[in-house]
Amino acid sequence: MTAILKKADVIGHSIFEMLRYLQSLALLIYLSFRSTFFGTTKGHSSVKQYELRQVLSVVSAQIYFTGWQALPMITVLALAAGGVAILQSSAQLSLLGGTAMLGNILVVTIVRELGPLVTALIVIARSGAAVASEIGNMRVNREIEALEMMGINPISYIVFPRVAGGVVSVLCLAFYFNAISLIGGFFVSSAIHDLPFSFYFDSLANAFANEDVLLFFIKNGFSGLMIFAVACHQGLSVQMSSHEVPQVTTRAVVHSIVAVTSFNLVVSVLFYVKQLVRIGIL
Amino acid sequence: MSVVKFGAYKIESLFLDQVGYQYPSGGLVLENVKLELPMNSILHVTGPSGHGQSTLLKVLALLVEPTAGVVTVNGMHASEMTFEEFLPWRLEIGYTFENGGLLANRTLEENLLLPHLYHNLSDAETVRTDIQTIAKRFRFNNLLERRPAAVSGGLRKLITILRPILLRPSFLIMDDPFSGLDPETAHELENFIFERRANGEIQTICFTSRDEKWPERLKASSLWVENGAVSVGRDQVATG
Repeated sequence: MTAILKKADVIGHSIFEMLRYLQSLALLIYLSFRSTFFGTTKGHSSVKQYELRQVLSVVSAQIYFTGWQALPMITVLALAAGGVAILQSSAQLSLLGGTAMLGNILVVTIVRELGPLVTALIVIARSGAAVASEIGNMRVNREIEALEMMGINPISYIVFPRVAGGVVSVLCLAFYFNAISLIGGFFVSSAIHDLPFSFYFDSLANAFANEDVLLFFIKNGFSGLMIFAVACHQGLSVQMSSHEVPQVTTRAVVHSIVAVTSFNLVVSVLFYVKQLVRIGIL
Repeated sequence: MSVVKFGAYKIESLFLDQVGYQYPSGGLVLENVKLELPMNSILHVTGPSGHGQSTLLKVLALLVEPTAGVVTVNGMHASEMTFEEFLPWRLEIGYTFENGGLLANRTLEENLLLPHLYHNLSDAETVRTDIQTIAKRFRFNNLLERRPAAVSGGLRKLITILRPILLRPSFLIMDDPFSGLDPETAHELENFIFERRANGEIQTICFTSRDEKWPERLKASSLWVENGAVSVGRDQVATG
């Protein structure tokens, strides 16, 4: 009995810690938006526009680093993903319903599942790690304290631009990944099956549902928010020493991967449960 | 150059009431410090190394929140105010770091310009002209476009000292400002601070210094920090 209670205690403690961590991430996101848009000094609201101008210049820099600079890598991976999805499914096409099913295969594998996941993993590897180590080094180098002394709120100057820029970048990159994958899929399928573009386009158009747009924004929006909130949170947790920087960087990458993959899995399961309910199986 | 801040928010009194500070790792640095900072004066914070001088400066600059007690500025509890509420007073406090403090991804000029542009304290061209004048005086005008990593440690230190002074603070806190500077630059900086004090911009200065000549030249009163306790001079105890 005592052993069971101890086990329950350990599990309960872990769940409590995880909820506390999620709460602190939510608080960080909330504070970053609040301090950027609503935190004005009494009687001096006109100053806010100048502060916002500086903050937006950091947002655009973040979009450049996270979004623009990741395009070559995303292009290669997207072309490969689209091509491989068609190649692998080609052998099974006759069982699944012929070439008319190409659109469904691409929408299900690329747009709904691979697109959000691969984009998130690339952003975590490139930018999540970079942001965590950058902010960690800023802590060690007293840059965060220096911002405070200049009257610049680090939450609005450091956290907000990275979170906002990150969300915009992930959404754009995921859209780009999907588009390039579908183009890659067309090249491979036209080479194998000698399909005209109009047939391929119609097949894709029939496969898309309104829910796909919602799914796209939920999955990719959450990924962007989580990756950069976790990276900023971990970076800001550095106290004094530079030896903490690689530790928080690793933690940021691991926590982001766990959060993003778990969320994608849960959303996909809920989406397919809803589909099963709709067609009357459940 | 005129710096238009948030109006008349001068720091008229700063009081530490039973203030203590303990590092997250557990080390107690300040304990039961009760001190009313004499404004319009020059204070040399001194004592044995590692006994909390820099921490006391950070508490006075409201850069760290004490783990015990309260800090009141003009009779208001500083810790009860939000970042934005305290901002007008914050800009009246200039703090120079012993190490670091420059934004690594910005040039020296951008580091000096940032607070002015962020708060729209003065127009960019006026500040740039002022920065050029000061850069010529300290002989780094040809290095303004470089990032901190591309200049010497001495110049980095000089920029961290000049940045808050350019914001025209009435209360200047400096953590060992002259270490790492060559004698000529240190002398020029000393004159620069004297000028700012003589024209009434800087009213109160609080600093630590390993160089004993500087406190003498400034005729500074001393605050002795040892074992977490703070005394005015070496004998007169000011702790609770």
